[in-house]
Amino acid sequence: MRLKYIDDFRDPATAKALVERIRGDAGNAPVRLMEVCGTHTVAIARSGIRPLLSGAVTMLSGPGCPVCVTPDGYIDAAISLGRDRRVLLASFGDMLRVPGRSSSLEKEKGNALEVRIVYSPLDAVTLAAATPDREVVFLGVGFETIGRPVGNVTSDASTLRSGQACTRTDIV
Amino acid sequence: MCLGIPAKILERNESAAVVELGGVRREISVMLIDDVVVGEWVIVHAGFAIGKLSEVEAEQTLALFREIADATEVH
Repeated sequence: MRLKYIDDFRDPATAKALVERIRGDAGNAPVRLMEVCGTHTVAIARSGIRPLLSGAVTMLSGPGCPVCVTPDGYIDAAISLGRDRRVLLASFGDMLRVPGRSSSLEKEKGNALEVRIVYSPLDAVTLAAATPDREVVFLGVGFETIGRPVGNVTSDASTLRSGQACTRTDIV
Repeated sequence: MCLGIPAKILERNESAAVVELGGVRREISVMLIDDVVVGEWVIVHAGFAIGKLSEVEAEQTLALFREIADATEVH
């Protein structure tokens, strides 16, 4: 996706005026802001906002959500697994646009691999039961709240044909 | 992925239950919580009930969701 008004956002005169105003509002006591999302952290680092506001605003990197802190290597591994025609990937929808080193699940979808979006890990087991000729791999990325559902599903999956379904779980 | 949504239990069958989520009936798992009965409210996360809540709490949360949805609606 291309960002509209990119030149407007990067206009030095506008940025200078905004920085002066923020510095004025901050006063003598530095304002501390937490970047909740890892995407914010990356955007702030790339655009040089942190040094620009140094002394007035201290940016603190927050926890990030499991999706935005997913390492490149995880996506690369998922793509590599999904390219095996015997494998059918199942994932929450928000994982699809997360970039790996060279591609994303969305870019590879329909090309070299097949990935099904599921709402629940339970859907991955249903999918595995309905497609006995494929090995279903569920990408279990999530907060700790997803840990128990994934554990439960892994247990359910083990009652299906051996090797038919498995989960790759990364709990943040 | 991260949303926990309040839903009312409409049917109950061992470790499974039927709830209504945004007007859609859906089967969920209730194996992670104890003694939930038809008519009670639960928080549903990724197809699993992960906790109970009162009807008042559920209605307040759903009202907040509606407020956010109305505020972000694209006209």
